Formats: sequence, C-alpha cells, structure tokens
Amino acid sequence: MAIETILVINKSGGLIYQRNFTGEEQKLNSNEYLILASTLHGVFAIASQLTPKAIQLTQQTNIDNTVPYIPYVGMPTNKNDMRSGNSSSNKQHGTNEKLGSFKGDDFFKEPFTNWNKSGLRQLCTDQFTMFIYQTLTGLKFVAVSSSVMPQRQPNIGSGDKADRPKSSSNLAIQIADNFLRKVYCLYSDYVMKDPSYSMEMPIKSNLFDEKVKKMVDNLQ
Amino acid sequence: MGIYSFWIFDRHCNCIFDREWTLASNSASGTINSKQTDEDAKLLYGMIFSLRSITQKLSKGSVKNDIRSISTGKYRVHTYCTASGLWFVLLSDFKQQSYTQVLQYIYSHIYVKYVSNNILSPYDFAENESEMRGQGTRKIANRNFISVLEAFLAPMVNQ
Amino acid sequence: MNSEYDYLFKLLLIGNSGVGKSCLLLRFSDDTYTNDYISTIGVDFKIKTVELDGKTVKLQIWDTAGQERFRTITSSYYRGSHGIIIVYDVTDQESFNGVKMWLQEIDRYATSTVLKLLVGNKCDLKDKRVVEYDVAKEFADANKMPFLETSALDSTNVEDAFLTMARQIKESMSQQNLNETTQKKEDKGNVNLKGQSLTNTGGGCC
Repeated sequence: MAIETILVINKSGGLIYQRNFTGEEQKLNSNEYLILASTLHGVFAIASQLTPKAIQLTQQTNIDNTVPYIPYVGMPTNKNDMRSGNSSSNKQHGTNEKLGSFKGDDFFKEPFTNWNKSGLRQLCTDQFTMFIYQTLTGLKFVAVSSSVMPQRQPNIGSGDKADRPKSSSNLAIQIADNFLRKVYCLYSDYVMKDPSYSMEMPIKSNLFDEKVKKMVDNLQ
Repeated sequence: MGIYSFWIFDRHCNCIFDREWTLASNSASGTINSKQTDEDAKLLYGMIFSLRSITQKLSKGSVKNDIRSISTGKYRVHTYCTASGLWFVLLSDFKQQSYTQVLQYIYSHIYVKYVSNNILSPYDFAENESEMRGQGTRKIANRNFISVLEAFLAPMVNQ
Repeated sequence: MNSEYDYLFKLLLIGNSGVGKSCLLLRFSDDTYTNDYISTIGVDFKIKTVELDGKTVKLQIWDTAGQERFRTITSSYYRGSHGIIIVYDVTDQESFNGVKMWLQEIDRYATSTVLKLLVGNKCDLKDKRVVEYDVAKEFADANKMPFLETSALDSTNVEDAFLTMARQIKESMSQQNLNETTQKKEDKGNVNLKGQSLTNTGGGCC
C-alpha cells in the first residue's frame, strides 16, 4: 500500500497537516486542500445521517467496531532483528527503531476500537483509495493510497454466507486503521507534547514530519 | 441484510427512482418512489457529488477517475455513472466488495430496455428549467421496469 | 507545504435562506471561483489569507445553507468555530425574526467564547426596508454583539469587520498564553502546587 498523501483534519473540520509523498508537483494549492478537507468533514456528517432505515429499525448491533491488530504496519521491515534485541542490529537501525516511541517497537499490540462508527471510512476510485481514521475526540487522519481495490464479481444468488472469503477491501481498511492509528501516536508524541503548539492550529513540527515520512516509506 | 436501498439520479441532480428495503426477511418490504426519502435522496446525491469532485481534483492525467464505492462504519455505497450522466447507486452491507457489475446490468439490461427504449417514457425527466438542479419530482413509474428490477434485486436483499 | 500558514481560523456564516450570505464575500476571498457545494452538503467555503503581526493567517469562511433539510448537519459545522456572523435581510422581517433562533443555535452548538457579529444585508434597497437600523442596533446591543448594515454593492465594511474579528481571535489566542504566564506570576508568593519552576515565568509562546 503506497501512501501518496496524509492529511490531518481537526475536530472542527480544518486542515492542520497535509503532506505529499510522491515527490511530484502538488496538484492542488493550499486553499484547495483546505476546501477538500472541510468537504470531507461535511460528507462525514452526511454519511452518518444516511444510515439505512433497515439498520435504524433493527438497532443492528452486530457491527463489530473492533479493529484487529496487524503487526508492524509501517514499521521497519527487518523486524526480526529488532525483536532479537542484539546490540549490533540495534545500532544498524539507528533512528528507525525509535519510531515505536516509548510504547514499544510497534506501539500498541492489542486490537482497538474504531470510534468512527457511522462516518466515512473509505473511498474507492478508479485511481486511488482514501482511508479515514477518526479518533475519539474527532480528529481525522486521512491517507490517500495509490492502490486500487479489485472489483470482484459478486456471486449473485448464492446463499452460502459462511465460506465467502473476507473482502480485501475490509482488510485494507484494517491495515489503514492500524497505520493511521500509529500516525495518531506520532501526533500525540511529537505535536501534542510540543509546548509551542497551539491546539487545533496547523502542525509545523519537523519531528512529526520526519517520523510520518519514515512510516510511509516503511509501508512501500 | 445484503442490500439496503437502490437509487437512480438523472443528469439534473434529480432522483428519478428510489427503492428502500426495510426487512431482511421480506424482499417486498420497504418503499418505492417514496416522498419520505426525498431528503435522503438529496443528501445522498450531495455526498456522492462532493466526493466525486474531490476524486476528480485528485485524479492524475486525463484518464477518467470515478468513484467505485464509499464505505462508512455502517454501510457501503456503490456507484455507477453512465456516459449520459445517470447515476446508479446501491447501498449495501460489507459482505460483498463490489456491485459494479450488478449496477451495470441494471443499466444496460433493465433501464435501457424499459426506460430508454420505451417511447412512452419521457426523453428527459425534467420537463422545464424549474425541474432541473435537483428540483424535479418526476419518477420512473413504468411497471415493467419496476417488476423486472424487483425480481433481479430481490435475491440480494437477504444475502 | 505545512509551513504555508501559521493560523487557521474558522468563521461561520449563518442566517435564513435567501438573505444573500454568499454574495457578501464574493470579492473578499482569495479565489474568485465558486464551488457549488452549498446546495449539496449544506456548506460552501471561502478562504482569505491575511498577514497579522507577521503571521500568515487563513480565514476559512463556512458559508452554511439556511434550508431546513440541512439543519441537523449545519449544527455539526458550528464545532470549533472562532467567529460567527449572523446575516439577515433588511427587506425581510422574517429573516430578522430568525436571528433569535440562530442565536439559540449558537448557544447550543458553539463555544461560549465565540465572537459574534450581526449583519443586515441589502441596505441599498431603501424603499423596501422593513427592519429599521435602530431596532436592529438595540437588539444587537442587548445581545452584546457588534452590528452593521451592508449591501452587495459595497461590502467593504463587512470585510473590515471580518479583519477586525480575525485580529480579535488572534489576540484572544495570545491572551490565553498571557493568562497562563500571569497566573504563574500570581502563584509566586504561595506554595507552588503545580511543580513548575518559579524562576521560569517570563516569555509567552508568541
């Protein structure tokens, strides 16, 4: 999953971080990105409103909002060395291993709750896939990935639910959630703890920038 | 429940057909061309319209880039846009990944046959200026269209 | 890229539909292009970049739709706004009566410290006027908010009001930092329960 762009949208719908990783020229200017982010914020609210009546009627609670832990998403690939803990490989990795911050080499290792219970989570297009991870406080982390979800032919009429393979699109959302939650951890470590940072305002932290880039690079 | 609702929008942003199922156990449940879903239709249109404009802004080169699906925490939206500016939209659960073929089939085998090629059906559902830009209220009422569509989608309701 | 602007302020434009909210700021924003989001998701955006005390500030104006069907959604647009501008039409009594309802919405959905401004639009249509300046002024004073009248022909005073608002928001943000420092100073004579260094009270963040 190659990440092209990361956006951070504050709880009021303002774009506070935007970075492209493709190395190409920016297609949109900063105002266009601001509008794009706030439009997403609006669509997010509408998506919740449009919950089908069948779901509202049955108070359907069988939707599980737990995201399984997927190991080492966005972490250095030679993780076996890292886990073995021998000093020579530790030196080799240099700053890479610090990605895991004080929380260990892969941040959290438990399944976690997706707080984005009814809003927009994924947008699949012919050219890219966009993922949205929302925190409990309403902060949104958005990733635009160049990978395109395959269009599998649905087996019309087949009633067997049990042996249907898990859709790859659902798996992609889980990987993205694991990844974006780590970006959230980086935000907590390097933005929130920065004494000169004003809440809800644009993020101008080089450290955060570097760490996010490293994580994106590791994902390729 | 496999599918929750199905919608058709014309090139004037008007919803010209809507079908919503409310019970998984009964594929005849729910509403067809209901007044009550008017607001929902407008919001659904707005959501897809806005995401489409985002999609187009972020697209590369001159190749067409269109939305395939939109996922939320509770349901998934599948879209298929025709060259003539029609949108076929289906709301489903998460079991199936893609309904693109289903929507293509509805367009080319059901819509074209019973609506486009039907001389009694209006060429354009908006008859005048005031019925454009989402202000129109005319719907597809063709009985053959509705019954064939029902028969086609019914097995998917409880999938 | 992320160093292009230092501050992002959210300003909300509300009022009944048809009062001419969107026309007020046509010339004010950076770009002249108009998106047509307002009829689809109930909000449209205009952005003005300004320099304040050497800092680049983006004023993002959320122009919301007055239509009923967006009511539940627009309420979610109030979140985190720094300033709210309520617009009514001086030739439409109903839109002025609506201001009270909009104030209630603000109380319910916005933070209590949000800056407010009341704007009477279309004041060039003198013979059609039904809401008198004095009446509106009195109402605005009673609700402790600044008030002005404007028209789409000449909206410079609204633009000035926006810039004033931006300055106030910026000041209130530095004020918060200042408050923190003065608070520390006041703590000086007493036992410091916060575990902060007593000698390090100088210098705010700005």
